[in-house]
Amino acid sequence: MSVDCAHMEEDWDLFALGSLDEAAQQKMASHLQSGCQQCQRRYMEAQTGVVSIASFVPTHQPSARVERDLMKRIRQEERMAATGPGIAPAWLRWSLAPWALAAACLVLAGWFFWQQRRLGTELTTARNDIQTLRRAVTSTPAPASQSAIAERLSAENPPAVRVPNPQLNPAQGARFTSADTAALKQKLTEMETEIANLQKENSSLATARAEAEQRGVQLQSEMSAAETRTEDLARKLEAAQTSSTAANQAEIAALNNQLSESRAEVQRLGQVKIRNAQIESLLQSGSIQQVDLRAVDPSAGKAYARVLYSPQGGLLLVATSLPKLDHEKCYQLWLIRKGAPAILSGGLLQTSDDGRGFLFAPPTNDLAQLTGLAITDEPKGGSVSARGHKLLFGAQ
Amino acid sequence: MSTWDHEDAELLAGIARRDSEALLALYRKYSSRVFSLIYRILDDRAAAEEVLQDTFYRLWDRSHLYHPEKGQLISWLLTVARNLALDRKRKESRRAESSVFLTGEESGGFDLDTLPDMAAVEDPDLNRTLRRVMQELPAEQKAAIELAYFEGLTHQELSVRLGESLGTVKTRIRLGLSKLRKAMKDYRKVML
Repeated sequence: MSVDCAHMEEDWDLFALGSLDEAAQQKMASHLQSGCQQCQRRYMEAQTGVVSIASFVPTHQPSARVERDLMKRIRQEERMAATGPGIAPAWLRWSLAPWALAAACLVLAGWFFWQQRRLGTELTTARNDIQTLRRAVTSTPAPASQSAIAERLSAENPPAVRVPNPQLNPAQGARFTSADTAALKQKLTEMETEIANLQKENSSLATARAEAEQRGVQLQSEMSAAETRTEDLARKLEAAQTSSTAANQAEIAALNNQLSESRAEVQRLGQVKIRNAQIESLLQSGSIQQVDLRAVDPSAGKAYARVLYSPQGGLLLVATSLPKLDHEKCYQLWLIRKGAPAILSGGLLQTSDDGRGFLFAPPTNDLAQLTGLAITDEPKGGSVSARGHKLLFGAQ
Repeated sequence: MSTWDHEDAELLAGIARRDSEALLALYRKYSSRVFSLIYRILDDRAAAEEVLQDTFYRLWDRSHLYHPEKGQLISWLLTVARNLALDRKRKESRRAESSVFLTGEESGGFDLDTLPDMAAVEDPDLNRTLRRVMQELPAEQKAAIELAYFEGLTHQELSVRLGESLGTVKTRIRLGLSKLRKAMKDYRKVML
């Protein structure tokens, strides 16, 4: 370390944390690149300490949707690279004469137009197929193997994977071109991925169902114990009251307290049990849809809500980070749907002081036509039509 | 410096060949750890999931910026994830700043993207040791480190937030991180 960099000695930790101001950060980066080995060692030591901080973080699991979206993004990119008018390579951009480029563009434009039309037709077919598969898979009551699903599909929908219409290639009669085969293979791969994802979702739902059932059994047992305890206390209280003397007045008061607490516990467990039964029923209903609601108004802060619903099972909403509302207001969910009325109340959220919100709405046909969901702040008791601020919104 | 993970190397080679299954395998291997860090920084599940996707997309899109000889892949992922998460946090608080690290530019001389050993993430015993050391740090040192790492505060912002001089803030961070480094060194001596 030279005299020039001795003053940096104390700052390597801040540099590794990225906590210096930009000028200082740049100065130290330049110094490292100048080749001072002692400072390079010191920086590496600092980095080791800094990155180890990541190991203290409690573990959380991302939702399955992230994996799906990531793969979708990559496949879209691959498709664009394969078929779309991507960025031309540098040699094409800079070294070809303008007329050659124009001619190439004309040819490419014609080819892309034809390709786009052909792929558009195939894409529509593939989307229809995937929709059929999605409906078939999501209505499967428990996770099934891919082969079982394929068997079922072939029984229910014989033309699940449509081959290109021979009339599209009149010159070749009913024979498929290699492009058709490649396109079919691509579609098949995509559909298989889709099936795998849906199976995974089904599996998660099956786990959630099993957990809900187990929770239900536990709750029943806890509730029976609490009821027995309450009955026992009531008997003791009655006995103490019938032989009321000055000596057992204190005992009666204590028993009264215990009885109140026990009854409150029975009531609380009863509510939890009802809520659990509602969730269980929703999870068992099949064809569950999910909508995520995000803050659309600055006053909603980081509020976030997830809704699971099915017309047969009802609607379950769980929200987090809801800002505390004024005492005279409440959160109300709105169902945005096709047809009239376009906006219907979905109910009022039960909220807790830690910003969590919960709502369960019973099954209704209105859920079949849902296109979106919104949460507003309304006067206490709710409104007939949405008048408050739209705080969260999610589209189907 | 770091252990060469053959599985990761093969999967990275797959990514270079544009094999999406290779990315999927790495995602399944590391997403939980990366997500946990992002979620800790942003405290917003939806935003954290978007940043997680961006982190792995960056691996797909710019895998050439990661060189196995510079360090473990998880270190790279965590560093990218932290920078993306802090950038997002800053943007949200209208303090757009660009990260100095991992800009993706090749630099002459010393490579700023060189990554430290992430043995603490992989080794549960070391992880426990470090966790204990962190818990035992004086509250003021712990707070300074956490605010700098998870909130991305500069030393000046830390000074304002903690109501202490710049010198005090630097000392707290230096002392805290030095204890963590010492614990790592001691652990390795015992293991050897």
